Amino acid sequence: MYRRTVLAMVTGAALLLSACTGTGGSSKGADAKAPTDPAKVSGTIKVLTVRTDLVQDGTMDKYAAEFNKTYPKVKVEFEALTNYESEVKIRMNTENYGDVLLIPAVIKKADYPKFFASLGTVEERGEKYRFTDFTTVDGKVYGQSPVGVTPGFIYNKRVWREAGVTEWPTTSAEFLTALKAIKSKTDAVPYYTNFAAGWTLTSWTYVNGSVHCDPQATTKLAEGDPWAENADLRVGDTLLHDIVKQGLAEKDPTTTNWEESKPRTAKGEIATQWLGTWAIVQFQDAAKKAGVNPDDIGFMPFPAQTDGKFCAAVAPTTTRPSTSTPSTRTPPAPGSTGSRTSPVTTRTIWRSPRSRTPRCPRCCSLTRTRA
Amino acid sequence: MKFIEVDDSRGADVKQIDNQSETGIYAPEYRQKLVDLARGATKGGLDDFFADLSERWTEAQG
Repeated sequence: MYRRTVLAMVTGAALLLSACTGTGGSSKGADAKAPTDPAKVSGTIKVLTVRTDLVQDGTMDKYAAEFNKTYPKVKVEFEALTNYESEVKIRMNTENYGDVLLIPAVIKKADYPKFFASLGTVEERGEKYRFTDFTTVDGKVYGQSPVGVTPGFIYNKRVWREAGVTEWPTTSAEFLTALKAIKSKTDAVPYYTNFAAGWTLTSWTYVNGSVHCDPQATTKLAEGDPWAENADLRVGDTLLHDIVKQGLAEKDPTTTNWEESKPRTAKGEIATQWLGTWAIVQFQDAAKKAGVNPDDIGFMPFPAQTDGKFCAAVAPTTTRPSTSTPSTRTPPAPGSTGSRTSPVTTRTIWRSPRSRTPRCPRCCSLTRTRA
Repeated sequence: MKFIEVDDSRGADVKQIDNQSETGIYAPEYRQKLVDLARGATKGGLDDFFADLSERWTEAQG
């Protein structure tokens, strides 16, 4: 998985590199093309990432080393942000937002051409990559996700087992019953909202599609009422509300700490969190660091079934998982003034066979072009 | 377990509605309000909370 991410990044960065040499002037909706001779490209590229853990443990340096095999004269810098979404949102108004980044969720899709360079047409990219429609504006693709993810609950299997719950709940009511059992039979906080981090709550929007196993769920958001009786968001929001209302979440949500929540979940102090497949690896790592069993980290889908089956919507990663987003900045072309005309963004798409089940954080990269 | 891909061709429209309605389904505030409501930090009922969201959303759909 890391390997794939690297490849995606390299690809993205390569495309970006061209952006700095190719377009001059305004690059609104400009195409980014790879340079013909990567060995001649020099400069520094800055990658913004949510993966604080990978920057700290040196994994990102290995990615950079891999990148440097193709681009020996390009220096790669990583900046990991714990509050990625909120910080980058603000920095998007300045010049200081890296060269490759995850596309902040608040950026309107129609605005992608204002900020990012195109990686190609949806026809050509769609043949090779998944999720191209998520970043396509007027037939051009502006980002690429290296990873597909599905939303779901990270939970501590040992704690759930100790509470006597051995089957995944199939309804919201069953889920609440399970959390109540955890509260009464264990010392764990049954559910942790991670309220303070913010994006952790935003991730409840990604129940969309999974609740009723509906591939047209987003069309329904556009045409219907997301909070109508039994609509996906209402079902998800009601569950979150009831968890908190029934005293099954942490006592003081305002003082939550995302980074700490990982080892706490691994150790069984926290039983459950709504996150996504991307979080599994991080929580397993946290378990190893805390000296507890990484196999205790479990993952379950939203408690709803359609035709007797759980369902999970696979989608490109968004930025909020705190876990991981690298950003790079486009190396200035030799002789360039370094002045930036417009940013290019890429959401990286996972490039493995379509049949694979996606996992892991999504990364989009955004790049900027320089004149 | 079934995996599906949700069609995102209307994704831009959704973001547009989201922006115009100032609902913020891709931002944390509305659910922080929901949690505050649930834990009694603010007053109000869940039905009213949803009704307000519904009203703003459907108005923005035009």
